[in-house]
Amino acid sequence: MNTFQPIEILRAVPKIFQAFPTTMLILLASLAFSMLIGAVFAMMSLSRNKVLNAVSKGYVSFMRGIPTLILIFLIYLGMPQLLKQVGIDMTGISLTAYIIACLSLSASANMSEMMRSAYLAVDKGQREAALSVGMSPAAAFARIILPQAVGVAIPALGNNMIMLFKETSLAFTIGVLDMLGKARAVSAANYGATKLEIYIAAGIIFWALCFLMEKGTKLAEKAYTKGRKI
Amino acid sequence: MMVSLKNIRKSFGSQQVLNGVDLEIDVGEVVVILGPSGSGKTTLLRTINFLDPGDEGSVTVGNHTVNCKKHSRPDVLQLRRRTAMVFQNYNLFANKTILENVMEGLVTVKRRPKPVAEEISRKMLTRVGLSERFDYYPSALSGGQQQRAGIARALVLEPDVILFDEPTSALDPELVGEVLQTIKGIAETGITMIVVTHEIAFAKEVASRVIYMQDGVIVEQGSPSEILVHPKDPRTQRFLRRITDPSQDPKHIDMREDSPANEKSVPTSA
Ligand SMILES: Nc1ncnc2c1ncn2[C@@H]1O[C@H](COP(=O)(O)OP(=O)(O)O)[C@@H](O)[C@H]1O
Ligand SMILES: [Mg+2]
Repeated sequence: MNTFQPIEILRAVPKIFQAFPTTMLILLASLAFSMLIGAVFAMMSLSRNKVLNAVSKGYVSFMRGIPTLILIFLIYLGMPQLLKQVGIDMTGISLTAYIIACLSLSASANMSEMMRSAYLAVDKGQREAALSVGMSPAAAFARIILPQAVGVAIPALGNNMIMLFKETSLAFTIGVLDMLGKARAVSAANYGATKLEIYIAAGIIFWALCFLMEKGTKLAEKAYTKGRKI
Repeated sequence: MMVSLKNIRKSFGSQQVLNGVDLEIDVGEVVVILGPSGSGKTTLLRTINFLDPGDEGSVTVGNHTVNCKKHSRPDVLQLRRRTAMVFQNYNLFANKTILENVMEGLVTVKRRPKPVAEEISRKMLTRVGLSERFDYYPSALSGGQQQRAGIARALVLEPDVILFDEPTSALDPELVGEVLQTIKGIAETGITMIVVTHEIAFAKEVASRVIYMQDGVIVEQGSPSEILVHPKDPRTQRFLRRITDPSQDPKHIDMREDSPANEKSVPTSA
């Protein structure tokens, strides 16, 4: 067993960083898809249709309750087996696509809740005023309600993004070479001799990027709301 | 006839709020509606532009009639484009500057080119005394300024009728005057207006007709002096006595239960 060598932390950083594009791809794609799925379920929960409300509620509750890792195993290991029985072959699907699908589903519950509460946070009078000047409900939504709801949602969106970013590290469990996967590979190449240093480096990288996202959220919120309340 | 309401009925759940209201308003009339809190004044205004559609009856504005029972979206849109509303809480678009608030309807509804809309809006804001505030967001303005911007936003659309729902009752007392003055100026231009208010002096001076409403019906109506000085119905008399008693804040009068003990009950918002 070697002694702890801080210099190895610095050496590991650029190596781990080689996988930065993979992690970013997973993050950004999952962010986009989870918002799309979340928007659908948010609309369902806000609709006047009781069945849609219930479906949305059930979905959100399930996706919030199930650990992401279980979801990954279910979808990565279980689904191909199931689909094979109905004659669909999933072997061509890349590992990265699996992880994006899992993270999108998992994060969509929080996205849905974020959108729903942001919509509800906009004063009802805003919509009424828009309708009273003769705007269509769609125009009232696009021009008055949505822009205000976005302002309300930015802090929560930043949080969701940070959580999603940390969950991208689950990609290594199915063998994707994201930043954590890369860290494991680098460590294995050294026969584990510097594993402590390497994981410290990985931790620092994740923390630093989270820190940047947090600052970015604050800046985005400030820029978006430019002095007004919403 | 500019506005005509026929047998408007409206319930919220089991509570009947409007019990068959008929009302005909001529071009250029300034109709002031008085009545205790909870009597259905706000709801009546909101049935006119279908923010709360009536359950029964019909609404005519200009030459456009909509049946409350079977109204289509385009019908309602047509009505809303002939009316404008000034809200108790102003309801200015919080994500837009004062100028953009006034321009919004011109651009999105009336399809005016932006530069044209902007020029008209600047003139309108200047008219209500806000020429120094074009680029302010609503949250940076006083209540009186916000309400004057709300009036400009309504007026700029050149509606057939403007509906005012207690335009001054959310304002600090010292700001009420400037808003009433603005409304008075507009009334003098001959636009048709329906104003729900508790400002008796304003009603005396500006109204062409005063309506007293209680429990979802029109109790009596007539000229300001007929209703405000010589009311015939005991309910109107009682209301006016209370409202002119300086120990009573008119906003907090609730006469749904006519017992004296109830007069100083928990304030309900009007
Ligand atoms: N959206 C609503 N849902 C349920 N009840 C309502 C609603 N709007 C108004 N009401 C009820 O209808 C009655 C009349 O209200 P409103 O028209 O606001 O009276 P006013 O403006 O004369 O004070 C009140 O008892 C109020 O509680
Ligand atoms: Mg009211």
